[in-house]
Amino acid sequence: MVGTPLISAQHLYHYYGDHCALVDVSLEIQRGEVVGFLGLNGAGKSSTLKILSGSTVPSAGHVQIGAVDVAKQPRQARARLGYLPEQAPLYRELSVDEYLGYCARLHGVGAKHLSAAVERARQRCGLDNSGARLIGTLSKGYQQRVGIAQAIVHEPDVVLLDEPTSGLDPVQMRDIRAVIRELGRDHAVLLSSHLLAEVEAICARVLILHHGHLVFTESLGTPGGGILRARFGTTPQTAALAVLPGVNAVEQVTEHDFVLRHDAGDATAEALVERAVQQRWHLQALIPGRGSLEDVFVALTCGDDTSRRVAPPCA
Amino acid sequence: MRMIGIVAWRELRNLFVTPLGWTVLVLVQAIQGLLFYRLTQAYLNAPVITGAKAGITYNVAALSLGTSGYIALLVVPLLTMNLISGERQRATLPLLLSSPVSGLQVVLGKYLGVLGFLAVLLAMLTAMPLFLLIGTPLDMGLLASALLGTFLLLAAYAALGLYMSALAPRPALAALGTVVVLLLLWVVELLASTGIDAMDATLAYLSAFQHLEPMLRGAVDSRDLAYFLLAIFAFVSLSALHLERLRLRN
Repeated sequence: MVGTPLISAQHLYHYYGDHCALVDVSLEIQRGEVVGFLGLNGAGKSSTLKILSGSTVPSAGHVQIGAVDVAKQPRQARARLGYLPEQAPLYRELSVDEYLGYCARLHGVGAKHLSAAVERARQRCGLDNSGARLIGTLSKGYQQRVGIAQAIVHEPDVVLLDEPTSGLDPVQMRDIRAVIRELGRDHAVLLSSHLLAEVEAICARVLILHHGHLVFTESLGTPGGGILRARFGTTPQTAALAVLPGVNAVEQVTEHDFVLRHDAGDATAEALVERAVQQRWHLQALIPGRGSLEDVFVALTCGDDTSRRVAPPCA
Repeated sequence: MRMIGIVAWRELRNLFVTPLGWTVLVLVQAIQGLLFYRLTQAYLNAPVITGAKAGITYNVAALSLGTSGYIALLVVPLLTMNLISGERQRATLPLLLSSPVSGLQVVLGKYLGVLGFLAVLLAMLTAMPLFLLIGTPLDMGLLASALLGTFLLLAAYAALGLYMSALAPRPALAALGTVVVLLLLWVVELLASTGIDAMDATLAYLSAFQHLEPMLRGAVDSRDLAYFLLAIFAFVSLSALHLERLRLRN
């Protein structure tokens, strides 16, 4: 996926009084990409999204939506993006249809296409039967869906979502994630989140922000890849583990403990157990774990412990 | 222009989907109805009046419209308080700020929405004197002049309310700010007219009622028109500037 990025930000700085919230942040997102935006609270995620959305002007730096400079042609640029702020901008006293119609018209959707646009946005967000309901009477999960519908009702090129699943129950989260994944097919999506699992599940690429610095911007390895923590009674050779199918990296943690990074699928675990029996390694424990994102995130954001080794996100 | 219309229509609709708009219409109509009845009765029982202040059009229609200017001191701030600070409080302002709409368009749209509501209010108040036509001819020129003056007065109040709403982070503060400024202008006029204080004419000139009074008598003076239009222009532009500044600050 190489081409003109749909959204590109160059050297963004943002100050709140003396406090510097963003330091030299640059990023690019292509069409068809879902990019996750991670960081601790106060790292500057929301500030970045506000700036990208045009609702805040950065202290320095440029933002381009497609070929349009946000500072020079703000209205043309804003017409091409949809933005869900941290708190969904909902008018509780309106019905879902009234509200989405208003949002669509604000973003320049003509009267002819209005009802079709509202209908489509409702459908995509699973709000088919809620058109006539007042937003104030909807549950939190459904309100969040209305917030997302609001961001996509005018078919923008770029969709910015600030913590779209916060405060939702697991089932609602799953539904919203499905919506976002679907959006990623023909839009450029940037979503911020606290949930590593969520980002791993739906994003192809991750940006990590720490104290206003962009400290990590990489593709995630093979989607669904993971790690295995294994403990052996008889310590095997690291090389013997490395040749197992699907293994990308092996790390010896203690004398008996190993961490294996592997591609998607269960083949690695199966082969490991088989081999352990054959070679009499006395396998005592085998714990499947999440991919490497958590390690990266913790290493980059917890304390300023630079001595800690930063594991490669994808081998 | 289209965007202004969209925002204006939303604002007008907003006033009618919440109880606030309806409550204001009912209460103002009730007060003005009572006043209208009393003024009509007083006119019927009064000894013959001559001169500029004669006639039922001035004594009933114009005076009741003029009084609505005093009621508006308290009512307009309620109508304008939510315009921008309401959006800030409900966290819906980002929707407008990230839409392809300029600050000026937002402000003009919201202002026109409130003006639309005030027009509805005035239309209801004017309907009462028009019923007098059943029994007596009215001086339509005088009525039109009084109506224009009252509308301009309300519009100027609304422009101030809009600006306060842009400044204040909360609607209650916006309403309070508007009421305080309006009352202050009124007090200035009271002091000037009673001569208690050595308040000079310059200061009294600031008071809106000074400029409404001639119009209630049928005298449309371009200086009075300029006063109202300048106030409206100033507060609407200041609001638009402030809204753009919010982008820099938040």
